[in-house]
Amino acid sequence: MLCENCGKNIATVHYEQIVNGVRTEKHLCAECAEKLEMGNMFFEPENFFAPLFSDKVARTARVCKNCGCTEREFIDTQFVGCPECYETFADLIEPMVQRIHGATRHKAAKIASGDTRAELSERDRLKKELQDAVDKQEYEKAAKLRDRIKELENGNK
Amino acid sequence: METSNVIVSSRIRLARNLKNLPFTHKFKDAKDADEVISIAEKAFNKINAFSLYKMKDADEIKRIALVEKHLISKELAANTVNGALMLSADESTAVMLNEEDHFRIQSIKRGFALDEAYADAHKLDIALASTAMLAYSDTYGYLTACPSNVGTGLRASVMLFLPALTATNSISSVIVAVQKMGLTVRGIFGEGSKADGCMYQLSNQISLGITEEEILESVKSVAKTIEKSELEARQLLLNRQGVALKDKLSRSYGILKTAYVMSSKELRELVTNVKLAVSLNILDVDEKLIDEISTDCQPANITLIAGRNMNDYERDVMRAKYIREKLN
Repeated sequence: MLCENCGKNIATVHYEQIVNGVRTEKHLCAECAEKLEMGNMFFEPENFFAPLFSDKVARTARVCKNCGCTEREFIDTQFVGCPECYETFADLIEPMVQRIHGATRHKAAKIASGDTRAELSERDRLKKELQDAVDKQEYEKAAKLRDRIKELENGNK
Repeated sequence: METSNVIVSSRIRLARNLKNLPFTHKFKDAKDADEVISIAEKAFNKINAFSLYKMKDADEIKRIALVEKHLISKELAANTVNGALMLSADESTAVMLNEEDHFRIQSIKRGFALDEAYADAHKLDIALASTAMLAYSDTYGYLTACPSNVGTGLRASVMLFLPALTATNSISSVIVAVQKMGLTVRGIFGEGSKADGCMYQLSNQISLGITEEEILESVKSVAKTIEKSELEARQLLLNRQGVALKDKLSRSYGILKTAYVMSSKELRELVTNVKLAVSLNILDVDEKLIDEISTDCQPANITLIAGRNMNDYERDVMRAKYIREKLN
C-alpha cells in the first residue's frame, strides 16, 4: 500500500494505536515516518490525542438537566447534585457504588405482607392524600388516588 | 458479667431526601431549605413534642454544645445559612435538617439497645415518608447526596468503652478484623487507634445490597464479640497488675473528688480509670453520674452551665468545681 502521508512511496512503517477502545492505523513510508517523528512512537500530537480529547470533552460536558451538576463536579467532589443525577451519571455511579458497597442493587426489606417498606410508605402517603381530597370534596382527585392505591396493592404482588 | 459498661450507647441514623428538590449543597435559594424545614415540622411535630432549632438563631457556644453531646455534626453546626435541628424533649431523638442530606433522622439510646433505637428512628421514617415523596429508586434504594449512603441510608453504631484493649495495644487488630465485615471502628477523641478516653465507635460502612435487619445483626454481633474480648482483657490486666492497678484507679477517683483545677484531657483520663474500676468492682460509684459529668464538663457545655464565657484556665477551675459539687 502507498504511504498515507505523501501518497507516493510504498508504506513500510505501520502503526496501530488503541486509545479508549478506539483503534486507528497509520501506514507511512520511511521518509514521512521520520518527518512526523514516528521514532518517538507518536503520531502528530493532534492526531494522537484527538480521539482521547473528543471523547473526554464530550463526556465532561455532561450536565444534569435537573440541577445543573456537571460531570466534573461529581468527579471532583464525589457528591451528586440531585436524585436525577443517579440517572444522568449512571455509568460513573455504578462502579463507585460497587467499590464502596460491594453491591449495585438495593435489597429492600420485605415485611410480612410481602411489601417493601418503600411501597408501604407510598401507599400510606397516598391514603392520606385520599383522605384530604375527600375532606375537601375533591372527588375526582380522590377517585384517581383510590385507583392508584388499588394499582399498588394489586400490581406489586 | 451482667451488664458491662463496654457498650456505652447505641445510635441509629437514617439519611433521607425529598424527591423534588436538589440535594442541600445545590439548593437554589432559601425557599428550598424552608420547604425541608416545613415538611419536617409537619411530619414530626405530632410524634414527639419536638423543638425546632435553626442554626442561624443559635449562638456558637450553643451549637458547639450540641456537637459535644453528639446531637449534631460539626458540619451542621457550621451551617448557619439553612441548617436546623428538630430535637425531642429528652434529647433521645433528633432530625438534622439541610445537612449533607435533607433529613438525617437520629435515635440514641444508652447501653446496648440498637433494636429499640431503630424502632424509634423507624417511626420517624414512616411519618416522614407519609408526609412527602422521598427520593428513592428500585436500583439504589434511598438516594443520598453521597453515593456512600444509598440503599438503606442506615448507619448503625455503638459507642464502645475499651480501656483494656487500648492498654494492651489491641485496637488495631480489632479495626482490621471488623473491616472484613464491612464495619469500621474509629476513636471518638483523637485520631487512629490510640484513643484518648478509650471511647470508640463501631459502625457499618456498607448500606447498599443488605437489609436493615442484616446491618443491625452484624453490628450487634460484632459489638458483642468485641465486648467479650474487652472483658477478658480487663481480667487479664487485673490478674497481672493486681494491687498496683487498684491503687492507680482508686487514686483517680480521689483526684476527681478533690481537685481544684481540671483540664478536659485530664478529666477524660480520670473518667476512664474510674469507669474501669467500677466494672472490676474496685470502686462503688454511680457510673451514670460519672458519664453525665463527662458530658457536662466538655468545653462548650461547661460554658453554658457557668452562664458566661471563660478563658481556658477559668473553665478548668469551673470544671473542677462542678465535679466536686457533684461527687461530694
